Amino acid sequence: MKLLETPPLSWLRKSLAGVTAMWSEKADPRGLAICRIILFWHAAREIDPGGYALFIRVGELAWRPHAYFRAIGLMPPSESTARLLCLVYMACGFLAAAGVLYRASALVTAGVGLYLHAILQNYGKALHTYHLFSLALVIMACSNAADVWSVDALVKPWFAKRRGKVLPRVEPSAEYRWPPLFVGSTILVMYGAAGMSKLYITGWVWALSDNFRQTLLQGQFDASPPTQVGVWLADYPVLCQALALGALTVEATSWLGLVNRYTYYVWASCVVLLQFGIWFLMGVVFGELPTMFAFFLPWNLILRTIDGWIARARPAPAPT
Amino acid sequence: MSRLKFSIVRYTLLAYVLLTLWEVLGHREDFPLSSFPMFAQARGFPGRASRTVLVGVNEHGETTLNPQALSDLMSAVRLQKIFQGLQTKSDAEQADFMARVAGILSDKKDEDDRFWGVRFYTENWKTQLHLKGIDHPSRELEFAAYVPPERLKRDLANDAKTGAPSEAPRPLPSGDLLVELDADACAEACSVTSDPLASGGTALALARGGSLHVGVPAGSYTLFVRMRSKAPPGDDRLLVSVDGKRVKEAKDGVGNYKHQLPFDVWVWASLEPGWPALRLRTKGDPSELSLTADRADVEVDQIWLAKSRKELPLFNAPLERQKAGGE
Repeated sequence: MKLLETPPLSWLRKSLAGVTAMWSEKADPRGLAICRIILFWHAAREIDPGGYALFIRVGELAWRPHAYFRAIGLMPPSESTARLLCLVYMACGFLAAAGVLYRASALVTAGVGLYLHAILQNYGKALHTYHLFSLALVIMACSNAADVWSVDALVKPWFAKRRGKVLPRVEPSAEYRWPPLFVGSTILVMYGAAGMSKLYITGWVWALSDNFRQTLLQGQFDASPPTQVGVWLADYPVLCQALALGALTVEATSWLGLVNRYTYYVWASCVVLLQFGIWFLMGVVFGELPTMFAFFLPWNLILRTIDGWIARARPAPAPT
Repeated sequence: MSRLKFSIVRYTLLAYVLLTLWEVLGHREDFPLSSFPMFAQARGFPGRASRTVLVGVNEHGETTLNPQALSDLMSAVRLQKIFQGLQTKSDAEQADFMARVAGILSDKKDEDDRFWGVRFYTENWKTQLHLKGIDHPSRELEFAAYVPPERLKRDLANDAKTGAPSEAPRPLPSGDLLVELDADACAEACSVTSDPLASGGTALALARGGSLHVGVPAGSYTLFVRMRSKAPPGDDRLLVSVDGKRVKEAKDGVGNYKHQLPFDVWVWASLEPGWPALRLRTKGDPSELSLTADRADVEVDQIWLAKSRKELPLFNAPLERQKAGGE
């Protein structure tokens, strides 16, 4: 046992304890409910059935299935099937956002979403924006995100009463903590992979060269960044290298955010800032990702603060 | 949360981490797993920037289009990849595809305004500090495709079937030059032939290797030739020379329409349909414009040197000069 008390095993033990503590935290069910509403509302609105069907029509000749699509011979749906699936996806997305028959509606949204988003990857170019979003839908579909602030939560007590039962009050629990944490962790893993890919493909030269300078200027030529700060930065090669080094370090180390709750919030903040920086300087918007940043928010703290404000604003009961 | 559920969640996340690492190490690109290699390649400075521009073409010229007009899921880069993939497909598949694209882009447009061509340009810049040169990219036409307009196809089919013109001659736009060809224009292996569908009832017939020449005043024009040939696709062409020099922009000559318009009737032709029409700049006054049928017999009726028109017309009727004091 003494062996476990010596580094590096003691660090490993502490890290595992940190992971366990982070995932065992009790969370307010309303935080998860808000994430559910944001995610499924976004899902219900992000695909236009007509646009998707047109994409299938235009892309048909460019169909180049990758990996498991090729392995199991999956083919793209017909236009009418695609349109129907999009409608199912939208309808179930709205139902899941409202928390109507959540378990079923969320699972159908996640399953159909996974298929619809996977189809889009088979036309010669990956669409990374949907990778994490599809996973987030699956993760949320497996959670108890409709225990409060949902139609199910309104109806269940009524059914229970008819059967002569009383439902227990929904209390904070780790059950409401793991889904947002899992989604947040996938985001950190994605940034980690992006950083590792840069190091693996190009190495530190990625940061310690004129690469970032070129990238900043290139964005102005072939995209539409909201500002021209990148043009100004490009005049300072050393500053560009420092920023690139910072970004690469944040990305490549974002796996550390999985270790405990402190590193989680530190890296979550860093990647959010990084992403907004990328948009600010280069005009790159990473599709559904900004929506998913809602999962990083410390919902317990936010809700506790709001509850406090409401309690203070409410008039004190009159003395009897 | 039960211990079992906690373990499932924890090991699922661990599996996700390990599988993502595997993707990174294998440079893999799957779904929903990926190595997320966006921007992973280093680029030097000064480097290059490029942008793909999609344009639709109709009688009025080119219109820059947002690829999202096709589908909100479409981007210029993705569409470019689709078009690159398309070049390996058969003529019939390409035609079918282009008809779909043009159909979507032209949805709700009048027949005359519908796009009959789609082009991809690549705009290139050398990236420079302070965005120097951003307004002046070099522009290259990367891909052009033609969708035969329905009205033109109907007229051509009608001409072929009835042997009578579908339309009366049209007035020559003001400022344009029209060359009516006669025996004086013949150079080699060329003769005058009668044809009721030709302007004035006659045209020049060039045997294989035959040529004609006409004098053209100095200026800048778009060249259209009203021609007819029974040659198979690929041989339906006329080589263009000005003052004895081949025009380098017309490497394959003018004509080359039979892939898309397989009719043995009079057609207004320029560079291959879908590509911008051939612009000529003549310096001598006059310059000698020569047309040579290098691969097969070709008949030539009129030569139209347009000042403002840049695209193929939607009609195949001959032109006639407006009478003085007329419309």
